[in-house]
Amino acid sequence: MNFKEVMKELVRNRPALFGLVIVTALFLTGIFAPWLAPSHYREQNLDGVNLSISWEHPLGTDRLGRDIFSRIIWGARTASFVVVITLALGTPMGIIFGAVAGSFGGVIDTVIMRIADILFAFPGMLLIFFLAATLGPRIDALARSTEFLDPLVKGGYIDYVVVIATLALIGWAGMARLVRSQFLSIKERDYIDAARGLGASNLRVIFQHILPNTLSPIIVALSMGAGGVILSEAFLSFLGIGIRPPNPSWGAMIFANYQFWRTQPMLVWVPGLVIGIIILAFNFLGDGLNRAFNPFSKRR
Amino acid sequence: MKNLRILSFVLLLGLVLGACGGTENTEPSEFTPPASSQRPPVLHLLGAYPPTRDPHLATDATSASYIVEIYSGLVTIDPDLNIVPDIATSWDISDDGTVYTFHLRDDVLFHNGKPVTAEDFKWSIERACAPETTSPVADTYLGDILGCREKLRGETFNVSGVSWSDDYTLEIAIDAPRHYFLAKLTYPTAFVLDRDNVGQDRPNHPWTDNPVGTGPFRLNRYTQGEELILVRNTYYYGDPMPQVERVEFMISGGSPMILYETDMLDSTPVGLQDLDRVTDSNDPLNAELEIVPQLSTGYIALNADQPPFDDPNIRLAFIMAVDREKIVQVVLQGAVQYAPGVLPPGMPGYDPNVQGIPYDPERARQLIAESSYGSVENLPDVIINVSGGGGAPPGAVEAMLEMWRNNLGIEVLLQQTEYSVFLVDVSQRPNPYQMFSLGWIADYPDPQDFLEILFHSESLDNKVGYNNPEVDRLLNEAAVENDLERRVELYRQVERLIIEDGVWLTTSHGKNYTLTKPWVTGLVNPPMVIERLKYVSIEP
Repeated sequence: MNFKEVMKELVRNRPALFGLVIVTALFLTGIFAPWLAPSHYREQNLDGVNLSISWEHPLGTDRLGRDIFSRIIWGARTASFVVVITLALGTPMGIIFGAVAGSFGGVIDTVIMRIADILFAFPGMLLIFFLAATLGPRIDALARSTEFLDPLVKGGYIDYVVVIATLALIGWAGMARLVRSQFLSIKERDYIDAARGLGASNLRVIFQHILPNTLSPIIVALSMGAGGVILSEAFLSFLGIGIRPPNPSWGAMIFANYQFWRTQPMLVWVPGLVIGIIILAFNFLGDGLNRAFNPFSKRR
Repeated sequence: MKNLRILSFVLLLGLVLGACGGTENTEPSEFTPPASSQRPPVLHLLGAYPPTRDPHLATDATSASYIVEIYSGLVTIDPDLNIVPDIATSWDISDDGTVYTFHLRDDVLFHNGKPVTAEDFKWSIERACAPETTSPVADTYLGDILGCREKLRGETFNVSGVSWSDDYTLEIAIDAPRHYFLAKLTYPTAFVLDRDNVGQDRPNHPWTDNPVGTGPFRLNRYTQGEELILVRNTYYYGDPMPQVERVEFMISGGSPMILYETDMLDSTPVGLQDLDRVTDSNDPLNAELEIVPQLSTGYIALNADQPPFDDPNIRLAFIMAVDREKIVQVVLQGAVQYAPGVLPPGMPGYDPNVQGIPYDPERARQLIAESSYGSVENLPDVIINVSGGGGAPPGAVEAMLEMWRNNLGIEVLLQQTEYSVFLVDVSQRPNPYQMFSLGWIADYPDPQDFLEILFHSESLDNKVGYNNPEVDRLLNEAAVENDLERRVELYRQVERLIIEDGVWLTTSHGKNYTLTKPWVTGLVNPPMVIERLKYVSIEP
């Protein structure tokens, strides 16, 4: 299946197209946030607090006079940054562990999959919450006492490290499971036997013959997982153990304003809606990719 | 007496934080009887987590608000803020003003039925002053008593200034005639404890789980993060007898306004978010609103023990760079009163003409250039510490961070610390925090309670490393001055010097906005922490 065909399938599927557009927009917004946002996310104006919608402030201002539109745009940068890095860390981990477990079996398989099972045994959010709350202060303390990490603390980036570390630590297990099951089924295929018969080494079989064939489920899982990462980040930030102010995060924006929902519902609704739409978009996209990769399953 | 989380009185931050996870906890209360049926004599209040429940260790207003109901001492403060007899019915003061002879009631029983005698008071004061008790406040409130400081230093076993001639006559000798000494005895550190009770620590169950006090209420149950329940002490000696059977403090969180509107709370403080609604005279809740200015001051401490605030120019620059009046008007919605100085209105010695340090960013930058650091680049990193756990910092602090950044070009970092850890940290000498946000609420209506306790160089409650010999001299003079007018004048001089030295970036004097249901009578909302639940009755 080549790229062109997949794209064609995607465009034909309306929800998936919607997903693709929104996800692309999210990443573009994230990359170009400093140029797109009319003002900086922490720029306050105490002479213009709680303003409603206007040309100058398309989504109004909050109680410190910060432009909500700008904060949403900067929040996109946080969200896309966290998604990209978390998946970039967690996915290779999952692929490697899954591939090792799937191709070697035996004790290694048992050990890796039991660790994954342990991670699965806990309700996902609870585990994330627990890890962020316990790891967070330790990572923070470690960074403060280590000279070359200290700038992370001062720049306010340590929160990102905590969130990403937490989500990646948990995220690999699902990927490992998926890759392992793919390996188990693919390694029994005739063409693998053929490759081995021709004298291909273990590594060559894994990288040349099995891995490429597991790629499409991995991509689908990534797209589905991205929505989960965004939700988890918002959730952690809402609870105050994720991205903390003044760094922009949609979850933190909801937390900062939820008490005012009666008088200024916009402050809560806008970031909430944005989070919802993004998660929906990732799921639609994942679904669409799944159908595009497996054309025979699309008319279920 | 008490440290105050400056936000608790308008923002309720600590109280509402629990709300994110705790909404399900309210389920059993759906069975609260409807208003039409007979109302049980139970008072439902919003509570907060007490950092300590040991009277001799209490340094904060939240802890004290429970302690003053469970325990009592020789004297107390009535709702009109007069010092009145409690376990002592009367007292004689020697001519030189240094020996107090207290005549105790003979009908006072501990919660376990044991009579209270003068010996119990001597034991309690010695327990408060014992080094192993590690009371952070014994020196401040009992230090005037002869032998107390020696005992705190571990030099003696006996507090020589306290003695009894019979079961109901207690004598306390102090080092100098001090006008405010009686007032200090209203602080929980001077309360009487039962020695058999205090020894009963079990693993994971400190004695404070089953406290034996003498106050109008007994602790029935305390479940951390859930509730604290007081029940009426039927042995209570005082007047009036408590009228409600139980007082249930809800600590689990939830939205206080919704709980109040659904009759699950009988009284609630109002947060900023609901202020517009309740102050609107057309709103039905308005009739249930009471607004009481507090004898409190919220401040950002600039710790002279920690660089860069060891240089007064830097301190003043940080203060001048903040438009405090605007923060009070806009961010705090004018719900509190702007504080140019240290003493709150209503406190004896309060000076309405006090000039605060003006907002002047230009001059602030100049001061940094004139300081020993020379320029912003030479300053060390500055961290401001706020109590609380994660989430959004208080709006006022966020506004200040932005003002320092814009007006001085200084990126101040924010650190949040859990409240009870925070209180332990700031009571260290030297205090490890460069800047921190806290408040102070009066223990008793005397300016000494603010100015000497917080700013005398030898006071253990001087959390900001403040040391001005002129201030010390004036404070020592005022402490033993018997002419009231002269005392007030001395304290006003002291306040002006403290303001000029810039160790406190004062922000606001608090105001309590409280809603109370019409069927609750006698629930006073005092401007400071005093015992108040015994006056409450509930119409059936």
